[in-house]
Parts: sequence; structure tokens; C-alpha cells
Amino acid sequence: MTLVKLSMRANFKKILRTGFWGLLVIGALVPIWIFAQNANDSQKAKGFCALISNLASKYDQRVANRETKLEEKRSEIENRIAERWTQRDAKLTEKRAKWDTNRDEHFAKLEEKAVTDEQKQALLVFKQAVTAAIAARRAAINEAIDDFRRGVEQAKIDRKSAADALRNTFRNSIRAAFEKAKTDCDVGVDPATIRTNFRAEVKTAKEKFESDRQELEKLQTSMETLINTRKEAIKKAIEDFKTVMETARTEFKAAFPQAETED
Amino acid sequence: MTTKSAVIVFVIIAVVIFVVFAFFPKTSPPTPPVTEITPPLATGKVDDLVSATFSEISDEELLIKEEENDTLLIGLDTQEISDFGQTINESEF
Repeated sequence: MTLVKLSMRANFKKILRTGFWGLLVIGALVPIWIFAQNANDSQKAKGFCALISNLASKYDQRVANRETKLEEKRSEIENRIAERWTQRDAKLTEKRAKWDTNRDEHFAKLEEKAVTDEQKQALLVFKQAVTAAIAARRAAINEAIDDFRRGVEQAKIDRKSAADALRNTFRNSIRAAFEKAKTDCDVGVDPATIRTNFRAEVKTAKEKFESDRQELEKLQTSMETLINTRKEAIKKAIEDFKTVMETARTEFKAAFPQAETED
Repeated sequence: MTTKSAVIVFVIIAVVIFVVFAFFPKTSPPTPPVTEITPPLATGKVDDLVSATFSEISDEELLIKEEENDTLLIGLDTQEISDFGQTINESEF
């Protein structure tokens, strides 16, 4: 028991000794590190004026690269949307032709049943009502699609304008910061002060850019309005169509009861 | 390999197979979304004709609904716009 206690005490002393030396080393290294940092900062400040023109052109080059990438992405978006619309239009035409053929077959079957002049007349009236109702519904749906697409186009234009405005503001702020730094360097202001001011201006410009960019993303919410407006327009077109169809059906059945039964 | 080792290996393989089949969800091939409605055959009944015109609406809607996804494409340049904020970093200077 005594042996264990002695051993524990020895270990504790050893840990204390190691900790003490460790702290001593860290204590000595921290000021060296801070000094090195300051020396590095001071070195950077001295070189800042010499490098300012070079830094400004490097910045312009980076901006030019980003602009190219943004334009490429915009073209890609443009092409994808145009491609989708073209494909969908073709598909819609195809579908409508398919249903037109089918309807012709339905009418042909009904025509086989219409024997009397009254029946033939009732069928003609019914056919005209159905054809007109379908044409009206399709026209209303086409209009809803066109309105929606115009809205999408407008949203795209609005986003482009807003994005261009925010990046121009940002680029102009940075360029102004470079210009001010160059002028200050020319008139002999302390390089450390010029550098500090420049960094502060860049930081402020970046913060403004980020907050404006977040506002830009909120424009996406206007898309929901577009979607809902289109949904409502289509819903109304369908309801109107169904009402007309029900009336036509009722009138046709009254005039041609045989049309209710299969051959 | 001794008989004992062979038995152990066999048991391990059997357990692994059992666990895989018993506990992992069985995957079935994804069912493609319905994009097309086939028109019904003509019967000579007015109700079937009217019903066909209503099916046409559903068929069109399947296609028209896809258009909503186009709005998502507009925001695809978010990253490229955001990257302008990274063209300069004050800590570089």
C-alpha cells in the first residue's frame, strides 16, 4: 500500500515537471510566433505599394475569368430551357393529334348509329359543340403556357440585371479601393496604413456583395406566383370545358337516346 | 486449411449471406413515371366519347406539369454569381 502511494506521488511529480517545462517552451514560442507574424505583416505592408499595380491586374484577370464562366452558365441555362420548350411543344402537338384521331373514331361509331335525320342533326350539333369546346380549352391552355413562359423569360432577365448590378457594384468598389491605394502610395502615405485601409474596404465590399446576393436569391419566390397563376388559368380552362361538355352530353342524349348504349 | 478452419469460414460466409438477405432492403427496379395515357377504344357510346375527352386533359396535364421545373433552371447560375465574391480576399494582402 505504502509502495503504491510512493509510486503515485513520484508519477504526479513527473507529470508536474513535464507540464512545467511544456508551458515554459510554449511561453517562449508564442512571442516568437507573434513577432514573426508582425514581421511578416510589416514585410507585406512595405511590399504592398510595390505590388499594388500587379495585384490590381491579377484581380481584373480573375474577374474576367469569372465573367466568362458566368456567361457560359447563362448560355447553358438558356439552351436547356429552349430545348425543353421545343421538345414539350412537339410532344403536346403529338398528344393532341393522337386524341383527335381517337375522337374521330368515337364519332365514326356514333355516326354508324345515326339513322334518322333528327339523329344525324343531333350528332352534328354535338360534334360541333365538342370540337368548339376542345378548341377553346386548348387555346386557353396554350395561352396559360405562353404567359408562364413569358414570366420565366422576364424572371431570367430580372435575375441577370440584378446579378450584373451587384457584381458591377462589387467590382467598382474593389477597383476604387485599388485606385485609392495607388494614389496613397504615390503621395507617400504610410504603407501599413494604406494596406489596413485597403483590406477594410475589400472586407466591406465583400460583405455588401454577399448581402445583395442573398437578396437576389429571394427573386426565386416570384416563380411560385407564376406557377400558381398558370395552375389557376389551366384549372379554369378545364372547368369551363367540362361544363360545356356536360351540357352537350345531356342535350345529345335527350335528342339521341340510342347513343347511350353500345352497339 | 484444416477441417476446423474450413467449417469456420463456411459459417462466416453463411452468416454474412443471411444478414445481407435478411436485413438489407430489397431493391426493385424504379418504375418509370407515367407520361402517356392511351386513348380508349371507340365504342359508339356518348359517355365513352366524353370520358375520352376528359382523359385527354389528364394526358396533357402530365406534360404541362413538367414545365414547372423550368423555374428551377433559372437559379442554376447561383454558384457562378457567388464566385465573384471570391475574386479577392483581404487576407491575401
